[in-house]
Amino acid sequence: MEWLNLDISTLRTMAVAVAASASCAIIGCFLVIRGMSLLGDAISHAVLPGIVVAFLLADGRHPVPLLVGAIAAGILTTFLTQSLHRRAGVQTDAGMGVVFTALFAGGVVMISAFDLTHVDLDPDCVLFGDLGVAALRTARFGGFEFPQPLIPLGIAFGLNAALIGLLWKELKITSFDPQLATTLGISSTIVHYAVMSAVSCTAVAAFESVGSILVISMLIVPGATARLLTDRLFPMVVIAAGAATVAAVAGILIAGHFDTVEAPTLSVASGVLFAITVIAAPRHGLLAAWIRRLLLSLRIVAEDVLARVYRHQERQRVDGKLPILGLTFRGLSESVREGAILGGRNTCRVTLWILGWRGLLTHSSSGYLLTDAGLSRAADLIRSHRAWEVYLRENLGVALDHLHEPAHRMEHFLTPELTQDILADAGDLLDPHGRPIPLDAAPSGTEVDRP
Amino acid sequence: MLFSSPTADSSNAPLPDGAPLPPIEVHDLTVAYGRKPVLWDIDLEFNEGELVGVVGPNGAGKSTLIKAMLDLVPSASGWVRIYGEPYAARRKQVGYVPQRESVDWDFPVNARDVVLMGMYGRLGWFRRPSRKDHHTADECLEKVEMSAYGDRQISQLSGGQQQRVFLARALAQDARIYVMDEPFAGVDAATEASIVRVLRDLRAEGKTVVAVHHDLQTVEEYFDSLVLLNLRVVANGPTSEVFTRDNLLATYGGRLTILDRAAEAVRRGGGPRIDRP
Repeated sequence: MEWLNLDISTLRTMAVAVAASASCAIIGCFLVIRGMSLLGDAISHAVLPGIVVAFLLADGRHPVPLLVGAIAAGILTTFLTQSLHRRAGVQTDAGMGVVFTALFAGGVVMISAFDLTHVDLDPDCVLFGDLGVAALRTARFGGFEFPQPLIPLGIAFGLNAALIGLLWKELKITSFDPQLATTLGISSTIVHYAVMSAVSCTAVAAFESVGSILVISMLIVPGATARLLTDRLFPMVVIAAGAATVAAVAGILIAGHFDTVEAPTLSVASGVLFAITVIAAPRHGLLAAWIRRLLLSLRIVAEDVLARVYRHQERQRVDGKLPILGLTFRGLSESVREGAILGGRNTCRVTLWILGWRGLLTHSSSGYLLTDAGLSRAADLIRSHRAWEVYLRENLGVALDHLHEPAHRMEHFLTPELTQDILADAGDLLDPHGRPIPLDAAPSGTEVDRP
Repeated sequence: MLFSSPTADSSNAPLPDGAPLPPIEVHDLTVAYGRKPVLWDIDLEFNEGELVGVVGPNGAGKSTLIKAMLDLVPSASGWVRIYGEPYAARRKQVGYVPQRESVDWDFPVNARDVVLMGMYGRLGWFRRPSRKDHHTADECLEKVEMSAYGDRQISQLSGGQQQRVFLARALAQDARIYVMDEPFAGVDAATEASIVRVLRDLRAEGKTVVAVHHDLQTVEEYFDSLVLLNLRVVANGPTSEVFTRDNLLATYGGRLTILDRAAEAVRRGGGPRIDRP
């Protein structure tokens, strides 16, 4: 198991990565559902001057001044962005772009002006962090040695979990319907600032490990992934934490195997997980949507085939021919046009095989014929088709030569109850073209003599 | 101030017994967006236990009037009283049905979650809905004939069903006044019938309902009183008296050019922004 080459330093890096990802993921969910992903981006950059000031004042990595500095910077960003929008009429996104870049650049200028590079605050580290290096510094508690970054990350996770736990319904309602929240006396503004403060703290806690660019992927990607997998808020938060953990563990293993930089590898892993989810998610995924479309088109083609054979047999019955001949493959495949995503002839072949297998269609020397079950199913379709033609003709006054196409589409979707109601109103047993509407499942006059 | 505003405590204040106070009183209200006034000098008083329709053309300020009653938009001048008190002191007496388009229906909650939100105001900060509240939410869904859809994610509901969920949420607020912004907009016939039934039940319970309405054909059937609005109150009173050809012409007909031009003059004259007190 070369992949699982888990020495103690890999495990420590992994612990830091999981802590950072999970803290970001749970609060990031609320950025995603509030449609404020980019404010997370802005804040993760804008906290830099707060961090620098905290460094200058407290001279070191003491967590309390760092967190205070971060919250102050986050609130300042949120406040400036909102004020620019409300008071000065600047577009929200433009205001955000101005505020966070200015604050971030200000932070970088301060780093170079006060020569803070000796405490690891160099511009590279600011952007990408260094998971491996961060995890090397260890702290001790009760004889147990662990990576020092777990302390601020643990605090951030605890704060986020507490915020989400305490303000669960407030977060929910202010995200979904801020106006109703306001009328109920739940201040959207307070909740908004609480979320932004939590994002700021989290961004700072994760800062030295992953830097200010990659922290965005940790904030947004797990939440976006989870949203594709569930339609409820609580499962979304749990799944986001799970997705973040999976991405963190996978990212560190891959980084160890290929000897790549940890934090960016983690972000790539997270992105790949998201891409897989986009494709394969059970309800919202592209694959599921494609399968639903495929099944629908196969059903439509199958129903078209049944209806086609029904009309073929009906015509011979009207003409008084006996025995009634089946319909040839060529005759059928011509009618298979709509929704044939595998190509007309192939779709027709597949469909005929399925209809035969389900006992709706038989094949004789003369061609394809309906079985009793097939006849009943086809009569339902024809009834829907002709009922819709009656409705269009009598209620909407649609011209005779415009009736077939819309009825051809609607026949696949009309429910038996709806068809019944239309026919109850019409009371006519013939469609506008003068053809009989089959009223029960196997109407007399259309049975066939089968070989 | 953070978790309990001083006014919130009085929002439960019992109403004076047999008080002659009107449920909603609007006095000389003017509302502006930016520098442009959208409602001019509105004076209104509603009677308890009536269904009141607010009718007027697009851009007449109907939604703005509703929002101003609920303190959602600031007024440039004038005031609104709910049973004689400012809105903030009477929140719990007022249920709100916003326009359906005002929220993101892809939000990850189901119909019951949305109805439960109606009770959040009464619960106060931090507290969660109890089992009893869930039960109440189900009852409210029942009243709008949506009990089968409680577990349905809201994006999977039809427009009419979404509107009924909003109505159920307002019922969950258990208020004495209901303020609704276009509850009948874009709904199917079944939903319209269901909403009308709920409105009449509310009236039978002595509640007051104020609803923005678009369909002039049903105005007489649905509402006891009317406010005909077009930037100002054109007419206000019992439907039988107010819903006349002349009043409708005055509301919908000739543009109110003088007011339009006055508003434009205020905007262009660089007058002070008056949308903030």
